[in-house]
Amino acid sequence: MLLVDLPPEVLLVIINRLDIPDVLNIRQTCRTLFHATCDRAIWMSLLEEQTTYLPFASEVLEDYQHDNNLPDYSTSSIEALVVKACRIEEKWAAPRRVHTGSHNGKLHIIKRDDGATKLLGLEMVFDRWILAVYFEGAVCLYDAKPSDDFDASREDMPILRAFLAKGVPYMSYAISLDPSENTLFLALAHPKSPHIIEIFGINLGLLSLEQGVSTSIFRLMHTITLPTYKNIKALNAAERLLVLSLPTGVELLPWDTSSRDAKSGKAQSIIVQNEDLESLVDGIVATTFFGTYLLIFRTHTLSIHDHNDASERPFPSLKHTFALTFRQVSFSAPSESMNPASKVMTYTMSIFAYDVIQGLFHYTIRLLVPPSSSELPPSLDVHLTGVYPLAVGIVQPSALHTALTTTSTYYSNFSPRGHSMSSATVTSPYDSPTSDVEYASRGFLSAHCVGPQAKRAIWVERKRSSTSREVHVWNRHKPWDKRIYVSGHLDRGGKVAEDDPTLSSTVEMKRQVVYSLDSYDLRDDINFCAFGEIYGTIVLGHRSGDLSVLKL
Amino acid sequence: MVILITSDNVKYVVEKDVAELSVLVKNMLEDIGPSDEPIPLHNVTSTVFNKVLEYCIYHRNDPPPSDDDEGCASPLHKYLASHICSEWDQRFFDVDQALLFDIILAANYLDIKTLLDDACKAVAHLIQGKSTEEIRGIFNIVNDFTPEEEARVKKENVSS
Repeated sequence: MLLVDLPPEVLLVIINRLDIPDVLNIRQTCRTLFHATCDRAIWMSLLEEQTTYLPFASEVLEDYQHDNNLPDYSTSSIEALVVKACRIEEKWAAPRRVHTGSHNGKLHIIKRDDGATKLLGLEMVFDRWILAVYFEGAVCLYDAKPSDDFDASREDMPILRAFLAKGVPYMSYAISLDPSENTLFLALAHPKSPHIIEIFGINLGLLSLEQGVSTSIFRLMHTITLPTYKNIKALNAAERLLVLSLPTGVELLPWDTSSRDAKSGKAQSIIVQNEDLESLVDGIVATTFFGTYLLIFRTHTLSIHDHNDASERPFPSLKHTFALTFRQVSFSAPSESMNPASKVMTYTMSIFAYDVIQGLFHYTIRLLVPPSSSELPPSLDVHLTGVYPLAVGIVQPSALHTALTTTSTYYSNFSPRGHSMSSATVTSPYDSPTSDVEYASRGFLSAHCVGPQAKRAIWVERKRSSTSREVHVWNRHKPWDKRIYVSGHLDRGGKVAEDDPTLSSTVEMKRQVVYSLDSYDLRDDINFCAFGEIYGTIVLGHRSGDLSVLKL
Repeated sequence: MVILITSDNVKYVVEKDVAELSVLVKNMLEDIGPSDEPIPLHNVTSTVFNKVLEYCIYHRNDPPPSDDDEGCASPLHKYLASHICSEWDQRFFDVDQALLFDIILAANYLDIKTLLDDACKAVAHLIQGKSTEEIRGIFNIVNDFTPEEEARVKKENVSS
């Protein structure tokens, strides 16, 4: 009796227990096993597993949500999708090898254009387009299309595809995507009088067909003149809304009034704080749209607001207060789902918030909105899901190992004072001296960014007493590694069942350095970062205005 | 009590709840009704059945795996249930390959889902982390690809 003599249905059960690299190895052994590994069920179950922790192209995810069996996809195309996602996963957290000399391998440096030296912001959209906004009034759009294979010899340096130069400085900007139209919207504010905000639409679908550098692709959609200067806080392409800063809150301005009735063209203010001492220490850090709501993130507070005039009943004030001091925050794209039975809408989003002293904190927030017919009010959950500590004694090193047996390791309203972690279930004192030294040597983060699907993130750390700047990557993990064949009886009845492992525990986000830059030149400082979540391209914005592009 | 006879004519007297872990036996018992007639198991030898019985007796009190588990169990729990093996199971399946495959065939024939799953898990464990060449060695697999086929399969599937 040999393995290959087992009936096909049994071979299928065995192969279904294997990880992708094992499946690929076993299929190379002989014809029987090769054919056994071509079964659609194997790849569908691997894909199902991958969708819980890996990012996929939005069209694939949409098709998958629409029909879990992906009837329009051939088995070989599903296999290709799964294998590619696996290969990218392997490379994502691996150091990016940078060759020196004439052939740079995976690192490309984009030198700044003359005149434009101070970066205002850096974005990467659709895993392909790099948008660099310069204070001096210039915007550059680069195409960094990922190659289909990982052939390092291929020259696919990002190329400049569009350029906008106004000659007047920009003070703030915001972008928003309209995926259905493949269009990127960009709002730019000028600091000098007259206080003009310009909104451009960039059709990326057209751009990818064109050759050479284009200036006409920045299509001016709207110009708004303001009596005084206001910072742009957010832009919403779908609702044609612009969010501007006020001393005590934000102002929402509809900018495309042609498609709406005149009444809705009025600006609307959301006041989040009184003009008192509190506003000085709890200023607005960032604002984003969260489903049909507005999320305002302040230094110590997160709040959700309803900007929809038409809502039938008043939206309660939903607020969460942090014991930390956040100065920088980045958001994933919100995802929404509706419970078909209760009609409760659930909006979910990941937030990476940075406290200069304590570290980088990953929160998963959920907003539950019952239907208007329901008596129940909307509610907000804020869970601390991950921590990258920069100070000693924040996270128990054992948190990861106990996550399986404890329900919730840390209370979401994390407090840096160890004794006040009200629901911390870890009882052993923090006694790992080697780690202490390791945390103490950590410095500060100069930039961070979470991907739209919240499956990956990056940050840039400048270490203490060192000239090196390190690029760290974070990614979601499988619920459990298949290789682990542990002892201990598992209760088949389901004692370990938690409603969602991604929400139930806080784990330390480990150091995964993929690139480091040693330089005494302060102009090499990395002040901005962006990345493509699906294909893993990382873009760094330096103080000099140069960009570094790191491919997988 | 249920009387079972293996293909090599060995007679087993087994408690009903243990015997009914096999869906095949359970269905047969329902078909024939209360009777002292022995049930023949044509495809199982006594060597293999000894192991099967050992497993069934040890796991007799486990809650039965049900299909509606799929709906309510969390992905994490499903994952753990399908990938983690207890210490007893690990020792139980630490047998030579021929017997392991016979257990799988018997479990498949007798329709004992948990045993089939656990035994397949044990086989998967032998494969995990091994190279193609190592897998061929472990399972005595004869490479029956033509050189061209092998080159193509290798090119398509080699991890970079």
